[in-house]
Amino acid sequence: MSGPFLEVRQLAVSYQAVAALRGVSLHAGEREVVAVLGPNGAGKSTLLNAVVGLVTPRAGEVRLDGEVLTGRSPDQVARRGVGVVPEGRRIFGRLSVEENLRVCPVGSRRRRHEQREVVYALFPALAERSRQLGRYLSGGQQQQLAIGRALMAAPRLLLLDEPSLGLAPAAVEAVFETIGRLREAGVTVVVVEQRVHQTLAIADRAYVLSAGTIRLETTAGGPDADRAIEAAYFGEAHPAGAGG
Amino acid sequence: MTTLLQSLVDGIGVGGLYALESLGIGLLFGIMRLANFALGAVTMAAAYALYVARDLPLGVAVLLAVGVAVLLSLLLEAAVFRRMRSASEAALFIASFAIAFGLENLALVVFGANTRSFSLSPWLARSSDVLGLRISHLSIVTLVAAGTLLLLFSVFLRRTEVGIRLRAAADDFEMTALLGVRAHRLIALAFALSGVLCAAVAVVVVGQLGGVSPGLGSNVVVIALLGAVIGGMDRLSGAAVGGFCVGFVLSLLDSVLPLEVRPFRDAVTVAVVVGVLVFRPQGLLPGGTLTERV
Amino acid sequence: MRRTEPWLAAALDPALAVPLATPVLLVLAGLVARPDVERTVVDCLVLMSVVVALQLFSGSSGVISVCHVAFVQLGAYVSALSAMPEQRREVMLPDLPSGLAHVRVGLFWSYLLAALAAAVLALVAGPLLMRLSGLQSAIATFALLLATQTVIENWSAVTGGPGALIGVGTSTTPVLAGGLVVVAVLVTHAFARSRYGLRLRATREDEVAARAAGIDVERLRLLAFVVSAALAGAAGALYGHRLGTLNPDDFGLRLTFFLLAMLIVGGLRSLTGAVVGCVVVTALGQALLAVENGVRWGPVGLQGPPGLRELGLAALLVVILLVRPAGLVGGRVRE
Repeated sequence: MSGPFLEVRQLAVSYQAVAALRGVSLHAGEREVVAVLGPNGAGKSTLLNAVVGLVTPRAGEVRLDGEVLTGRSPDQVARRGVGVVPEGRRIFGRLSVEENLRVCPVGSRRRRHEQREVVYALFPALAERSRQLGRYLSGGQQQQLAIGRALMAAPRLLLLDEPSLGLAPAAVEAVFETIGRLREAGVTVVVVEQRVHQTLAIADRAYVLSAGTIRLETTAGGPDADRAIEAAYFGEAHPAGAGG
Repeated sequence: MTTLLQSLVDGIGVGGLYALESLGIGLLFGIMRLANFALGAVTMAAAYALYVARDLPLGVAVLLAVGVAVLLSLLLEAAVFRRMRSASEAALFIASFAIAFGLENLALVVFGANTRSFSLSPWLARSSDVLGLRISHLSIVTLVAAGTLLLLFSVFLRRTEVGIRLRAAADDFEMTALLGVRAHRLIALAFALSGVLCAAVAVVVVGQLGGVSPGLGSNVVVIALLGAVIGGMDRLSGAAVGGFCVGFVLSLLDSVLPLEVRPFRDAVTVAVVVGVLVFRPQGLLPGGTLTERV
Repeated sequence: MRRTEPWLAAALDPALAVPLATPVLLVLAGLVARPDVERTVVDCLVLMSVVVALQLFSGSSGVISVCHVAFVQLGAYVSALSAMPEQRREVMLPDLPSGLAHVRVGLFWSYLLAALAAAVLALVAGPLLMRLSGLQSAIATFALLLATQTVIENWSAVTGGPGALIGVGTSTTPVLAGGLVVVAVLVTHAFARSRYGLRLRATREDEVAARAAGIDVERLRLLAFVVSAALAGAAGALYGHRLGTLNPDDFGLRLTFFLLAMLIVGGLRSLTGAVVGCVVVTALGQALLAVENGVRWGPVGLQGPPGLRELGLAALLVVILLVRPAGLVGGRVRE
């Protein structure tokens, strides 16, 4: 099977009569970090929810490594190698750190045990607090736990929804640094963000999503990337942009 | 003094009983926002199973009751509640109320309105001297059974991976699915476990009443539901503790309060419940922060 | 600028065709029917008033009340006791506090007293209850129902206690019961069209937005709750004077279930739904009851066991909740 590792084709989602996504297409190659940028209400979270099966798209298709994900339930999508760090982190506040990591059932018991050690190595702060309840962690540690929990299934694709939201500057930096390390570990990352510059610093490519459509696709390192994105962000017509 | 001690022992037993049923309510509410009034009917069905199997050895009869309760629970999940996943909490509650009412009347159709008297075991009706107190064997069995089951459940929920998943699901059901937990199976498991708890309650209640009638379950589930509300419905420990407290206090008040005041006992309980719902919807126990999920 | 009288506008609305025609037809049927059918018709009409009252509250606010049977029961006892001749009362309730022992009013005034008592109960309990919605409200109102019941059942000096209160008299006629339905329908319709009703409906669609717009949700709900309770209390007065004997068991979970079934089977969003639900549930209930008592169609005899009616109605309610959650009349599927 050839084609990109993750392929989203003409995805459309409506809530009642309101269109949230109007035919969004994007792709991500293996070991690529792809950013989806855009203002509030652009449809970024809807896009992720449609990929993981929380909302059923009206039209379009999502493929992972050639296999169709659309129409599958969230647990089936997760067991096919898609990890999610949702908006607001949604860690289990009444469970300890260790228990949070034990919820994921994917893989053999032995492999999960090993994976837990990997997560603890990646986030030493979690190892120190393994018996602490999730809700008593700081925001940055909660974000680490949310990422670590998603890594327990050893996903091939990791989706992060605004991981920097509500974090202190140092914690934001740590999160972005982590994303860079994940790429080195062989994970494909799609990160939805509002922080343009910091995200571009770690992303290979970026899409700008606005009012439910892709306004712009750009290579992060390109010379005009920042300006083009800013223009697309605020909905101005731009000579290089897909505009609309 | 001795009567007070005896009342205390009885109260702990009754409290444990309601804790079991409240735990069943908490399990289902945490996971699928269902305040399952029909658990009373499941308890009643288990009690009738004990009646049907009254001539069999007690162990076999209890196993049969557990089987009936688990199957009925799973059947209700598959036939009704699975199809109502997107319904509101109030609609789910009303559906469970309708099911309870229907099953109670089904029992009326099959077994008649009269209480069917039978004895689980003659030994249960006798008493022994324990540390100078005259305590009925039934009180002892109630205490031991409720204590053991609550302990087992607590170990299961804390130590096993499935138990951890159930607790995680009670906290944030959608998130557990996003981590790859098979949602349908987990829900079915919760229903099956609530059935086991109902069967245990049925054994004890049949022992206390010496028989079974169609209304047996609804009396239990009403108090268990109020207890779960007081303790905090979407936390398993909260629900169980709430059920225990309400059962314990009601049982104690029953033996302590003068006869004239007793009618207003329930009114006070109800006032407490409404107060909790308004001022601490997360329950009285400390630590709950989650009131509404969007 | 003068507006049309709200009452007049209400009476001319086409949405009222079914809710007003149904009780009239039932009354006509009740007048010519055998005594046992007449009783069924009166029952149906009395419960219809209660369901319409429920619709007034739940239909506008979107909040479920499970405690209206408490208002019905309170109304039944207040009316029965206040209208009862003194000698009979002395025999029935020798321990009645002397202040109450010598009060006696006419039948009509006893209805008003019943409505007033229910309204007062709603006014006292309401401020707390109205802060809740959804499941919490269902459980809290359920708790209020249980509390009212235990008090009535155990306050033997005043209510006769768990035994029956006999000798209430059976004065409720189809015309009287039908009249109350018409009053309830008109009041409910007028309320729904009033600015209070419209605002309350806005809170049903989006409570947060309504609060943000400065609408006092609790007060509007309380207003609807009290009016609804008064209607239910008056219906309870008529119900008591149709039963002739007040038995605490007649006002328990069973009656609550019937009322909920009527409200939901028809659809709680409209008056037509409420009225249709009453007729459907009563008709099916009577058919099953007939089977319980044994029926013959030519060579085919059918004899069902007791409990069949409740079983059938429970099945109907569950099926409606599964298949048509907005009810038979409701067009839109409830969210």
